[in-house]
Amino acid sequence: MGSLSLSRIMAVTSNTFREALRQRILLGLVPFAIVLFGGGLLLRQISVFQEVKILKDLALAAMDLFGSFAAVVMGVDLVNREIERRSAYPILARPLLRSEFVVGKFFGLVAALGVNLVLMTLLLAIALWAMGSEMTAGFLPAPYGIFLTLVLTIALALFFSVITNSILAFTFTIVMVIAGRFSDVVRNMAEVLPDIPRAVPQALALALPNLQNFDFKLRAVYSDPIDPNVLVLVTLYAGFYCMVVLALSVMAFEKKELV
Amino acid sequence: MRYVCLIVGLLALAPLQRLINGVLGEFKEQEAVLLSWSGPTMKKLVPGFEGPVADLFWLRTVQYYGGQRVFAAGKKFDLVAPLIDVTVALDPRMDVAYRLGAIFLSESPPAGAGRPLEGAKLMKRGIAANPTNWRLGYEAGVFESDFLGDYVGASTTILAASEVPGAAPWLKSVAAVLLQKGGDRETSRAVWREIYANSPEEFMKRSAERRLKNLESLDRCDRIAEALASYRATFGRFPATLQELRGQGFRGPLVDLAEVPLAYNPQTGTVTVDPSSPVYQVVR
Repeated sequence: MGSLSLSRIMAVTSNTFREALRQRILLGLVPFAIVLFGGGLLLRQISVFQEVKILKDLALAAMDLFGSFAAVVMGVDLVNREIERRSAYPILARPLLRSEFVVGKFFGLVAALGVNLVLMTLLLAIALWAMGSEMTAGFLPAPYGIFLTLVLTIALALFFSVITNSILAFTFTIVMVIAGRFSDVVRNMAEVLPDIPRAVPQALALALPNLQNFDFKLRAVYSDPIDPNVLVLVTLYAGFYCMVVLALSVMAFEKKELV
Repeated sequence: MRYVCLIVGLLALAPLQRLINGVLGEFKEQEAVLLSWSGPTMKKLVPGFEGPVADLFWLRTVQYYGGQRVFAAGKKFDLVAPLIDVTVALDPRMDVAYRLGAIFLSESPPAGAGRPLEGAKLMKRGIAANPTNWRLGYEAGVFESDFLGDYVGASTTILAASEVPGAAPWLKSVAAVLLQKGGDRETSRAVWREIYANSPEEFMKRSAERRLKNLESLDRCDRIAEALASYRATFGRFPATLQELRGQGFRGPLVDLAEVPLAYNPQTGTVTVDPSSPVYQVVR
Protein backbone atom coordinates (compact mmCIF):
# COMPACT_ATOMS: atom_id res chain seq x y z
CA MET A 1 0.00 0.00 0.00
CA GLY A 2 3.08 2.23 0.14
CA SER A 3 2.68 4.19 -3.10
CA LEU A 4 -0.24 6.23 -4.40
CA SER A 5 -2.84 4.22 -6.26
CA LEU A 6 -4.82 5.91 -9.01
CA SER A 7 -7.71 3.47 -8.66
CA ARG A 8 -8.07 4.18 -4.94
CA ILE A 9 -7.95 7.94 -5.61
CA MET A 10 -10.59 7.48 -8.32
CA ALA A 11 -12.79 5.56 -5.89
CA VAL A 12 -12.68 8.44 -3.38
CA THR A 13 -13.16 10.95 -6.22
CA SER A 14 -16.29 9.28 -7.57
CA ASN A 15 -17.64 8.89 -4.06
CA THR A 16 -17.10 12.58 -3.32
CA PHE A 17 -18.62 13.51 -6.67
CA ARG A 18 -21.78 11.53 -5.91
CA GLU A 19 -21.89 12.98 -2.39
CA ALA A 20 -21.70 16.51 -3.85
CA LEU A 21 -24.60 15.74 -6.18
CA ARG A 22 -26.54 14.35 -3.23
CA GLN A 23 -25.96 17.67 -1.50
CA ARG A 24 -28.00 19.11 -4.38
CA ILE A 25 -25.18 21.23 -5.76
CA LEU A 26 -26.97 21.25 -9.12
CA LEU A 27 -29.97 22.95 -7.52
CA GLY A 28 -27.97 26.17 -7.96
CA LEU A 29 -28.77 25.86 -11.66
CA VAL A 30 -32.41 26.74 -11.00
CA PRO A 31 -31.81 30.31 -9.75
CA PHE A 32 -29.11 30.65 -12.41
CA ALA A 33 -31.60 29.77 -15.15
CA ILE A 34 -34.16 32.15 -13.65
CA VAL A 35 -31.56 34.95 -13.60
CA LEU A 36 -30.58 34.22 -17.20
CA PHE A 37 -33.97 33.89 -18.83
CA GLY A 38 -35.75 36.40 -16.54
CA GLY A 39 -32.88 38.83 -16.96
CA GLY A 40 -32.98 38.40 -20.73
CA LEU A 41 -36.68 39.19 -20.86
CA LEU A 42 -36.33 42.15 -18.51
CA LEU A 43 -33.37 43.62 -20.40
CA ARG A 44 -35.38 43.49 -23.62
CA GLN A 45 -38.22 45.32 -21.95
CA ILE A 46 -36.11 48.21 -20.71
CA SER A 47 -34.24 48.67 -24.00
CA VAL A 48 -30.71 49.16 -22.73
CA PHE A 49 -29.13 48.60 -26.17
CA GLN A 50 -26.66 46.17 -24.63
CA GLU A 51 -28.87 43.21 -23.76
CA VAL A 52 -26.54 40.48 -24.95
CA LYS A 53 -23.45 42.03 -23.37
CA ILE A 54 -25.23 42.55 -20.05
CA LEU A 55 -26.61 39.00 -20.08
CA LYS A 56 -23.09 37.62 -20.58
CA ASP A 57 -21.73 39.82 -17.78
CA LEU A 58 -24.54 38.77 -15.48
CA ALA A 59 -24.09 35.07 -16.23
CA LEU A 60 -20.31 35.14 -15.74
CA ALA A 61 -20.63 37.06 -12.48
CA ALA A 62 -23.23 34.54 -11.27
CA MET A 63 -20.99 31.60 -12.27
CA ASP A 64 -18.04 33.16 -10.46
CA LEU A 65 -19.92 34.15 -7.30
CA PHE A 66 -22.02 31.00 -6.98
CA GLY A 67 -19.08 28.75 -7.87
CA SER A 68 -16.72 30.46 -5.41
CA PHE A 69 -19.29 30.33 -2.64
CA ALA A 70 -19.99 26.65 -3.27
CA ALA A 71 -16.25 25.93 -3.48
CA VAL A 72 -15.62 27.58 -0.09
CA VAL A 73 -18.62 26.06 1.72
CA MET A 74 -18.23 22.55 0.31
CA GLY A 75 -14.43 22.65 0.31
CA VAL A 76 -14.35 23.50 4.01
CA ASP A 77 -16.67 20.56 4.72
CA LEU A 78 -14.81 18.16 2.49
CA VAL A 79 -12.64 16.57 5.18
CA ASN A 80 -13.94 18.17 8.35
CA ARG A 81 -17.44 16.82 7.99
CA GLU A 82 -16.16 13.31 7.51
CA ILE A 83 -14.06 13.64 10.65
CA GLU A 84 -16.77 15.29 12.74
CA ARG A 85 -19.30 12.64 11.67
CA ARG A 86 -16.60 9.99 12.14
CA SER A 87 -17.43 8.62 8.71
CA ALA A 88 -13.78 9.05 7.72
CA TYR A 89 -12.61 6.44 10.23
CA PRO A 90 -13.96 3.31 8.53
CA ILE A 91 -12.74 4.65 5.18
CA LEU A 92 -9.24 5.29 6.49
CA ALA A 93 -9.26 1.90 8.23
CA ARG A 94 -9.35 0.34 4.76
CA PRO A 95 -6.20 0.00 2.70
CA LEU A 96 -6.22 3.67 1.74
CA LEU A 97 -3.48 6.24 2.24
CA ARG A 98 -4.42 9.49 3.87
CA SER A 99 -2.88 11.30 0.90
CA GLU A 100 -5.17 9.32 -1.43
CA PHE A 101 -8.14 10.31 0.68
CA VAL A 102 -7.25 14.04 0.52
CA VAL A 103 -6.41 14.05 -3.20
CA GLY A 104 -9.50 12.00 -4.07
CA LYS A 105 -11.72 14.34 -2.08
CA PHE A 106 -10.19 17.32 -3.87
CA PHE A 107 -10.75 15.93 -7.36
CA GLY A 108 -14.27 14.79 -6.49
CA LEU A 109 -15.36 18.30 -5.63
CA VAL A 110 -13.45 19.75 -8.58
CA ALA A 111 -15.38 17.38 -10.86
CA ALA A 112 -18.74 18.26 -9.28
CA LEU A 113 -18.19 22.02 -9.56
CA GLY A 114 -16.75 21.55 -13.06
CA VAL A 115 -19.90 19.75 -14.21
CA ASN A 116 -21.97 22.48 -12.62
CA LEU A 117 -19.98 25.13 -14.50
CA VAL A 118 -20.33 23.29 -17.81
CA LEU A 119 -24.12 23.09 -17.32
CA MET A 120 -24.23 26.82 -16.49
CA THR A 121 -22.29 27.59 -19.67
CA LEU A 122 -24.72 25.47 -21.68
CA LEU A 123 -27.66 27.29 -20.11
CA LEU A 124 -26.08 30.60 -21.06
CA ALA A 125 -25.58 29.37 -24.64
CA ILE A 126 -29.31 28.51 -24.79
CA ALA A 127 -30.27 31.90 -23.32
CA LEU A 128 -28.08 33.68 -25.89
CA TRP A 129 -29.58 31.61 -28.68
CA ALA A 130 -33.08 32.56 -27.44
CA MET A 131 -32.02 36.22 -27.72
CA GLY A 132 -30.89 35.74 -31.30
CA SER A 133 -27.20 35.74 -30.39
CA GLU A 134 -24.66 32.96 -30.04
CA MET A 135 -21.75 31.84 -27.90
CA THR A 136 -18.52 31.76 -29.86
CA ALA A 137 -15.35 29.86 -29.01
CA GLY A 138 -13.79 33.21 -28.00
CA PHE A 139 -16.14 33.29 -25.02
CA LEU A 140 -14.99 30.01 -23.49
CA PRO A 141 -11.78 31.28 -21.80
CA ALA A 142 -14.03 33.13 -19.33
CA PRO A 143 -15.77 30.05 -17.85
CA TYR A 144 -12.43 28.23 -18.04
CA GLY A 145 -10.81 31.01 -15.98
CA ILE A 146 -13.63 30.73 -13.46
CA PHE A 147 -13.06 26.97 -13.30
CA LEU A 148 -9.37 27.50 -12.46
CA THR A 149 -10.40 29.99 -9.76
CA LEU A 150 -12.72 27.36 -8.27
CA VAL A 151 -9.99 24.71 -8.37
CA LEU A 152 -7.65 26.95 -6.36
CA THR A 153 -10.43 27.90 -3.96
CA ILE A 154 -11.24 24.24 -3.29
CA ALA A 155 -7.56 23.50 -2.66
CA LEU A 156 -7.31 26.34 -0.16
CA ALA A 157 -10.56 25.42 1.58
CA LEU A 158 -9.39 21.82 1.86
CA PHE A 159 -6.05 22.89 3.31
CA PHE A 160 -7.62 25.11 5.96
CA SER A 161 -10.21 22.47 6.79
CA VAL A 162 -7.40 20.02 7.51
CA ILE A 163 -5.41 22.32 9.78
CA THR A 164 -8.27 23.94 11.69
CA ASN A 165 -12.01 23.77 12.44
CA SER A 166 -14.81 24.57 9.99
CA ILE A 167 -15.50 28.13 11.11
CA LEU A 168 -11.87 29.22 11.01
CA ALA A 169 -11.32 27.35 7.74
CA PHE A 170 -14.28 29.18 6.20
CA THR A 171 -12.94 32.54 7.41
CA PHE A 172 -9.37 31.92 6.25
CA THR A 173 -10.48 30.70 2.84
CA ILE A 174 -12.73 33.72 2.31
CA VAL A 175 -9.85 36.04 3.31
CA MET A 176 -7.48 34.26 0.90
CA VAL A 177 -10.00 34.38 -1.95
CA ILE A 178 -10.68 38.09 -1.45
CA ALA A 179 -6.95 38.86 -1.10
CA GLY A 180 -6.30 36.84 -4.25
CA ARG A 181 -8.75 38.98 -6.16
CA PHE A 182 -6.95 42.12 -4.92
CA SER A 183 -3.47 40.76 -5.55
CA ASP A 184 -2.37 43.93 -7.38
CA VAL A 185 -3.28 45.96 -4.29
CA VAL A 186 -1.21 43.60 -2.12
CA ARG A 187 1.74 43.85 -4.53
CA ASN A 188 1.59 47.66 -4.52
CA MET A 189 1.19 47.87 -0.75
CA ALA A 190 4.67 49.40 -0.40
CA GLU A 191 3.43 52.48 -2.27
CA VAL A 192 1.05 53.39 0.54
CA LEU A 193 3.07 51.86 3.39
CA PRO A 194 6.62 53.03 2.64
CA ASP A 195 7.91 51.95 6.08
CA ILE A 196 7.49 48.24 5.50
CA PRO A 197 10.31 46.44 3.70
CA ARG A 198 9.62 45.97 -0.01
CA ALA A 199 10.16 42.24 0.29
CA VAL A 200 7.09 41.85 2.54
CA PRO A 201 4.39 42.82 0.01
CA GLN A 202 6.29 41.00 -2.72
CA ALA A 203 6.43 37.81 -0.66
CA LEU A 204 2.77 38.21 0.26
CA ALA A 205 1.78 38.70 -3.37
CA LEU A 206 3.69 35.56 -4.29
CA ALA A 207 2.21 33.50 -1.48
CA LEU A 208 -1.38 34.53 -2.14
CA PRO A 209 -3.13 32.94 -5.09
CA ASN A 210 -3.27 35.54 -7.85
CA LEU A 211 -6.89 35.07 -8.89
CA GLN A 212 -6.68 38.05 -11.24
CA ASN A 213 -4.71 35.75 -13.56
CA PHE A 214 -7.88 33.83 -14.34
CA ASP A 215 -10.18 36.76 -15.02
CA PHE A 216 -10.96 36.75 -18.75
CA LYS A 217 -14.57 37.80 -18.31
CA LEU A 218 -14.53 41.27 -19.82
CA ARG A 219 -12.32 40.22 -22.73
CA ALA A 220 -14.44 37.17 -23.47
CA VAL A 221 -17.63 39.22 -23.44
CA TYR A 222 -16.20 41.30 -26.30
CA SER A 223 -14.76 38.15 -27.94
CA ASP A 224 -11.25 39.62 -27.76
CA PRO A 225 -8.73 37.01 -28.81
CA ILE A 226 -6.85 35.53 -25.85
CA ASP A 227 -3.37 34.18 -26.54
CA PRO A 228 -3.42 30.37 -26.08
CA ASN A 229 0.00 30.69 -24.41
CA VAL A 230 -1.63 32.78 -21.69
CA LEU A 231 -4.19 30.02 -21.11
CA VAL A 232 -1.41 27.46 -20.88
CA LEU A 233 0.54 29.64 -18.43
CA VAL A 234 -2.41 30.29 -16.13
CA THR A 235 -3.31 26.59 -16.22
CA LEU A 236 0.24 25.75 -15.19
CA TYR A 237 0.09 28.39 -12.45
CA ALA A 238 -3.16 26.90 -11.11
CA GLY A 239 -1.70 23.40 -11.35
CA PHE A 240 1.50 24.20 -9.47
CA TYR A 241 -0.29 26.28 -6.83
CA CYS A 242 -2.74 23.43 -6.23
CA MET A 243 0.11 20.97 -6.06
CA VAL A 244 1.78 22.99 -3.30
CA VAL A 245 -1.43 23.48 -1.33
CA LEU A 246 -2.46 19.83 -1.73
CA ALA A 247 1.00 18.70 -0.61
CA LEU A 248 0.68 20.87 2.50
CA SER A 249 -2.82 19.49 3.09
CA VAL A 250 -1.61 15.91 2.79
CA MET A 251 1.31 16.58 5.16
CA ALA A 252 -1.01 18.18 7.70
CA PHE A 253 -3.59 15.41 7.37
CA GLU A 254 -0.97 12.71 7.78
CA LYS A 255 0.13 14.28 11.04
CA LYS A 256 -3.43 14.88 12.23
CA GLU A 257 -4.49 12.75 15.15
CA LEU A 258 -7.90 11.26 14.53
CA VAL A 259 -9.49 10.48 17.89
CA MET B 1 -50.56 37.49 15.64
CA ARG B 2 -47.62 36.63 13.39
CA TYR B 3 -49.88 37.01 10.32
CA VAL B 4 -51.02 40.43 11.50
CA CYS B 5 -47.39 41.50 11.94
CA LEU B 6 -46.53 40.12 8.51
CA ILE B 7 -49.38 41.88 6.70
CA VAL B 8 -49.03 45.19 8.58
CA GLY B 9 -45.29 45.16 7.98
CA LEU B 10 -45.62 44.45 4.28
CA LEU B 11 -48.33 47.06 3.82
CA ALA B 12 -46.30 49.69 5.67
CA LEU B 13 -43.12 49.28 3.63
CA ALA B 14 -44.19 50.88 0.34
CA PRO B 15 -45.73 54.07 1.80
CA LEU B 16 -42.79 54.35 4.18
CA GLN B 17 -40.36 54.23 1.27
CA ARG B 18 -42.38 56.93 -0.50
CA LEU B 19 -42.12 59.07 2.64
CA ILE B 20 -38.36 58.52 2.80
CA ASN B 21 -38.04 59.43 -0.89
CA GLY B 22 -40.07 62.56 -0.20
CA VAL B 23 -37.61 63.62 2.49
CA LEU B 24 -34.33 62.47 0.98
CA GLY B 25 -35.16 62.75 -2.71
CA GLU B 26 -35.57 59.95 -5.27
CA PHE B 27 -31.99 60.03 -6.46
CA LYS B 28 -30.19 60.39 -3.16
CA GLU B 29 -28.45 57.05 -3.40
CA GLN B 30 -27.25 57.63 -6.93
CA GLU B 31 -25.85 61.05 -6.07
CA ALA B 32 -24.13 59.69 -2.98
CA VAL B 33 -22.46 56.98 -5.02
CA LEU B 34 -21.28 59.48 -7.59
CA LEU B 35 -20.00 61.93 -5.01
CA SER B 36 -17.91 59.40 -3.16
CA TRP B 37 -16.66 57.07 -5.92
CA SER B 38 -14.94 58.06 -9.09
CA GLY B 39 -14.54 55.66 -12.00
CA PRO B 40 -10.99 54.51 -11.12
CA THR B 41 -11.96 54.01 -7.45
CA MET B 42 -14.93 51.88 -8.44
CA LYS B 43 -12.65 49.82 -10.70
CA LYS B 44 -10.36 49.06 -7.77
CA LEU B 45 -13.27 48.06 -5.55
CA VAL B 46 -14.71 45.37 -7.81
CA PRO B 47 -11.83 43.38 -9.33
CA GLY B 48 -13.18 40.69 -11.63
CA PHE B 49 -16.66 42.17 -11.61
CA GLU B 50 -16.09 45.36 -13.61
CA GLY B 51 -18.46 44.20 -16.36
CA PRO B 52 -21.64 43.72 -14.32
CA VAL B 53 -20.96 46.86 -12.23
CA ALA B 54 -20.48 48.89 -15.44
CA ASP B 55 -23.78 47.40 -16.64
CA LEU B 56 -25.44 48.53 -13.42
CA PHE B 57 -24.29 52.11 -13.95
CA TRP B 58 -25.28 51.86 -17.59
CA LEU B 59 -28.78 50.67 -16.63
CA ARG B 60 -29.11 53.61 -14.27
CA THR B 61 -28.01 56.00 -17.00
CA VAL B 62 -30.43 54.61 -19.54
CA GLN B 63 -33.32 54.43 -17.09
CA TYR B 64 -32.65 57.96 -15.91
CA TYR B 65 -31.92 59.67 -19.20
CA GLY B 66 -33.40 57.31 -21.76
CA GLY B 67 -36.61 59.27 -21.59
CA GLN B 68 -38.78 56.20 -21.52
CA ARG B 69 -38.86 54.68 -18.06
CA VAL B 70 -39.22 55.26 -14.37
CA PHE B 71 -36.84 58.17 -13.90
CA ALA B 72 -37.81 60.03 -17.07
CA ALA B 73 -39.44 62.96 -15.28
CA GLY B 74 -37.29 65.79 -13.92
CA LYS B 75 -33.99 64.81 -15.53
CA LYS B 76 -30.88 66.27 -13.94
CA PHE B 77 -28.33 66.30 -16.69
CA ASP B 78 -25.48 67.23 -14.38
CA LEU B 79 -25.32 63.55 -13.42
CA VAL B 80 -24.85 62.31 -17.00
CA ALA B 81 -21.12 62.93 -17.17
CA PRO B 82 -20.18 61.22 -13.85
CA LEU B 83 -22.48 58.26 -14.55
CA ILE B 84 -20.92 57.72 -17.96
CA ASP B 85 -17.45 58.31 -16.50
CA VAL B 86 -17.89 55.47 -14.00
CA THR B 87 -19.40 53.21 -16.68
CA VAL B 88 -16.55 53.63 -19.16
CA ALA B 89 -13.86 53.55 -16.47
CA LEU B 90 -15.14 50.09 -15.52
CA ASP B 91 -15.69 48.93 -19.09
CA PRO B 92 -13.79 51.11 -21.60
CA ARG B 93 -14.97 48.91 -24.47
CA MET B 94 -18.65 49.76 -24.03
CA ASP B 95 -18.90 52.00 -27.11
CA VAL B 96 -22.63 52.51 -26.70
CA ALA B 97 -21.95 54.40 -23.46
CA TYR B 98 -19.75 56.96 -25.24
CA ARG B 99 -22.23 57.37 -28.09
CA LEU B 100 -25.39 57.66 -26.06
CA GLY B 101 -23.58 59.70 -23.39
CA ALA B 102 -22.37 62.14 -26.05
CA ILE B 103 -25.92 62.55 -27.33
CA PHE B 104 -27.31 63.16 -23.82
CA LEU B 105 -24.60 65.74 -23.24
CA SER B 106 -24.74 67.45 -26.64
CA GLU B 107 -28.43 67.79 -27.43
CA SER B 108 -29.97 71.11 -26.48
CA PRO B 109 -32.36 71.16 -23.51
CA PRO B 110 -34.90 69.72 -22.91
CA ALA B 111 -33.63 66.69 -24.85
CA GLY B 112 -30.07 66.93 -23.51
CA ALA B 113 -27.64 68.81 -21.31
CA GLY B 114 -26.66 71.33 -24.01
CA ARG B 115 -22.93 70.73 -23.38
CA PRO B 116 -21.63 69.59 -26.79
CA LEU B 117 -18.00 70.29 -25.87
CA GLU B 118 -18.23 67.63 -23.17
CA GLY B 119 -20.02 65.34 -25.60
CA ALA B 120 -17.23 65.68 -28.16
CA LYS B 121 -14.63 65.11 -25.43
CA LEU B 122 -16.38 61.91 -24.39
CA MET B 123 -16.38 60.68 -27.99
CA LYS B 124 -12.62 61.36 -28.22
CA ARG B 125 -12.12 59.31 -25.06
CA GLY B 126 -14.14 56.53 -26.67
CA ILE B 127 -11.95 56.60 -29.77
CA ALA B 128 -8.80 56.41 -27.63
CA ALA B 129 -10.18 53.36 -25.79
CA ASN B 130 -11.53 51.70 -28.97
CA PRO B 131 -9.04 52.51 -31.73
CA THR B 132 -10.41 49.78 -34.01
CA ASN B 133 -14.01 51.02 -33.89
CA TRP B 134 -14.40 53.17 -37.03
CA ARG B 135 -18.08 53.93 -36.44
CA LEU B 136 -17.20 55.65 -33.17
CA GLY B 137 -14.70 57.85 -35.04
CA TYR B 138 -17.24 58.61 -37.75
CA GLU B 139 -19.91 59.61 -35.24
CA ALA B 140 -17.38 61.69 -33.28
CA GLY B 141 -16.70 63.62 -36.50
CA VAL B 142 -20.40 64.15 -37.08
CA PHE B 143 -20.71 65.47 -33.53
CA GLU B 144 -17.84 67.92 -34.07
CA SER B 145 -19.41 69.11 -37.28
CA ASP B 146 -23.03 69.41 -36.25
CA PHE B 147 -22.84 70.26 -32.57
CA LEU B 148 -19.63 72.30 -32.51
CA GLY B 149 -19.46 73.62 -36.07
CA ASP B 150 -15.82 72.49 -36.25
CA TYR B 151 -15.70 71.18 -39.82
CA VAL B 152 -11.91 70.93 -40.09
CA GLY B 153 -11.74 68.94 -36.84
CA ALA B 154 -14.66 66.78 -37.98
CA SER B 155 -13.02 66.07 -41.31
CA THR B 156 -9.73 65.11 -39.59
CA THR B 157 -11.53 62.80 -37.14
CA ILE B 158 -13.48 61.04 -39.92
CA LEU B 159 -10.36 60.73 -42.05
CA ALA B 160 -8.60 59.03 -39.13
CA ALA B 161 -11.60 56.68 -38.76
CA SER B 162 -11.35 55.82 -42.46
CA GLU B 163 -7.83 54.46 -41.84
CA VAL B 164 -9.13 51.85 -39.41
CA PRO B 165 -9.06 48.39 -41.03
CA GLY B 166 -12.56 47.43 -42.16
CA ALA B 167 -13.85 51.02 -42.19
CA ALA B 168 -16.63 51.88 -44.65
CA PRO B 169 -15.12 53.06 -47.96
CA TRP B 170 -17.34 56.17 -48.11
CA LEU B 171 -15.79 57.72 -44.98
CA LYS B 172 -13.07 59.45 -47.01
CA SER B 173 -15.62 61.17 -49.25
CA VAL B 174 -17.65 62.30 -46.21
CA ALA B 175 -14.45 63.79 -44.74
CA ALA B 176 -13.72 65.59 -48.00
CA VAL B 177 -17.26 66.97 -48.34
CA LEU B 178 -17.20 68.20 -44.74
CA LEU B 179 -13.92 69.99 -45.39
CA GLN B 180 -15.21 71.60 -48.58
CA LYS B 181 -18.79 72.36 -47.66
CA GLY B 182 -18.73 72.51 -43.86
CA GLY B 183 -21.97 73.96 -42.55
CA ASP B 184 -23.83 73.09 -45.71
CA ARG B 185 -27.29 71.85 -44.76
CA GLU B 186 -27.46 69.26 -47.52
CA THR B 187 -24.18 67.71 -46.39
CA SER B 188 -25.44 67.55 -42.83
CA ARG B 189 -28.71 66.02 -44.01
CA ALA B 190 -26.90 63.35 -46.01
CA VAL B 191 -24.73 62.43 -43.04
CA TRP B 192 -27.65 62.17 -40.61
CA ARG B 193 -29.67 60.17 -43.16
CA GLU B 194 -26.81 57.69 -43.33
CA ILE B 195 -26.73 57.44 -39.53
CA TYR B 196 -30.52 57.00 -39.46
CA ALA B 197 -30.39 54.24 -42.05
CA ASN B 198 -27.38 52.32 -40.73
CA SER B 199 -27.27 52.73 -36.95
CA PRO B 200 -28.36 49.56 -35.21
CA GLU B 201 -29.41 51.36 -32.03
CA GLU B 202 -32.76 53.02 -31.63
CA PHE B 203 -31.31 56.00 -29.68
CA MET B 204 -29.02 56.91 -32.57
CA LYS B 205 -31.92 56.71 -35.00
CA ARG B 206 -33.97 58.95 -32.69
CA SER B 207 -31.16 61.48 -32.52
CA ALA B 208 -30.73 61.40 -36.30
CA GLU B 209 -34.47 61.78 -36.79
CA ARG B 210 -34.44 64.79 -34.50
CA ARG B 211 -31.57 66.36 -36.41
CA LEU B 212 -33.30 65.73 -39.74
CA LYS B 213 -36.46 67.35 -38.41
CA ASN B 214 -34.38 70.29 -37.23
CA LEU B 215 -32.86 70.68 -40.71
CA GLU B 216 -36.27 70.43 -42.37
CA SER B 217 -37.59 73.05 -39.92
CA LEU B 218 -34.69 75.33 -40.86
CA ASP B 219 -35.71 74.90 -44.52
CA ARG B 220 -39.19 76.06 -43.55
CA CYS B 221 -37.66 79.09 -41.83
CA ASP B 222 -35.78 79.90 -45.06
CA ARG B 223 -38.98 79.79 -47.12
CA ILE B 224 -40.74 82.06 -44.62
CA ALA B 225 -37.74 84.43 -44.67
CA GLU B 226 -38.16 84.77 -48.45
CA ALA B 227 -41.87 85.53 -48.00
CA LEU B 228 -40.99 88.09 -45.30
CA ALA B 229 -38.48 89.80 -47.60
CA SER B 230 -41.14 90.01 -50.29
CA TYR B 231 -43.68 91.39 -47.75
CA ARG B 232 -41.20 94.03 -46.64
CA ALA B 233 -40.50 95.03 -50.25
CA THR B 234 -44.24 95.59 -50.72
CA PHE B 235 -45.18 97.24 -47.41
CA GLY B 236 -41.87 98.69 -46.22
CA ARG B 237 -42.09 96.80 -42.94
CA PHE B 238 -42.23 93.28 -41.56
CA PRO B 239 -45.65 91.85 -40.65
CA ALA B 240 -46.67 91.97 -36.98
CA THR B 241 -47.33 88.20 -37.01
CA LEU B 242 -46.48 85.40 -39.40
CA GLN B 243 -50.23 84.85 -39.97
CA GLU B 244 -50.27 88.09 -41.98
CA LEU B 245 -48.23 86.28 -44.66
CA ARG B 246 -51.34 84.18 -45.43
CA GLY B 247 -53.02 87.34 -46.78
CA GLN B 248 -50.14 87.65 -49.26
CA GLY B 249 -50.62 84.14 -50.55
CA PHE B 250 -47.97 82.30 -48.49
CA ARG B 251 -49.23 78.73 -48.11
CA GLY B 252 -46.25 77.08 -46.44
CA PRO B 253 -46.30 75.79 -42.83
CA LEU B 254 -45.65 78.26 -39.98
CA VAL B 255 -44.74 75.53 -37.51
CA ASP B 256 -41.67 73.33 -37.24
CA LEU B 257 -41.62 69.57 -37.74
CA ALA B 258 -42.72 69.08 -34.12
CA GLU B 259 -45.78 71.27 -34.86
CA VAL B 260 -44.44 74.00 -32.55
CA PRO B 261 -45.01 77.52 -34.00
CA LEU B 262 -41.79 79.02 -35.34
CA ALA B 263 -40.33 81.91 -33.30
CA TYR B 264 -40.67 85.26 -35.07
CA ASN B 265 -39.22 88.69 -34.31
CA PRO B 266 -41.28 91.36 -36.13
CA GLN B 267 -38.57 94.01 -35.50
CA THR B 268 -35.77 92.15 -37.25
CA GLY B 269 -37.88 89.84 -39.41
CA THR B 270 -35.98 86.76 -38.27
CA VAL B 271 -37.65 83.36 -38.05
CA THR B 272 -36.12 80.52 -36.06
CA VAL B 273 -37.05 77.22 -34.48
CA ASP B 274 -38.50 77.99 -31.05
CA PRO B 275 -36.02 77.06 -28.27
CA SER B 276 -38.82 75.21 -26.44
CA SER B 277 -39.38 72.92 -29.43
CA PRO B 278 -38.20 69.30 -29.26
CA VAL B 279 -36.45 69.80 -32.61
CA TYR B 280 -34.51 72.91 -31.55
CA GLN B 281 -30.73 72.56 -31.73
CA VAL B 282 -27.95 75.03 -31.07
CA VAL B 283 -24.77 74.76 -33.09
CA ARG B 284 -21.81 76.25 -31.26
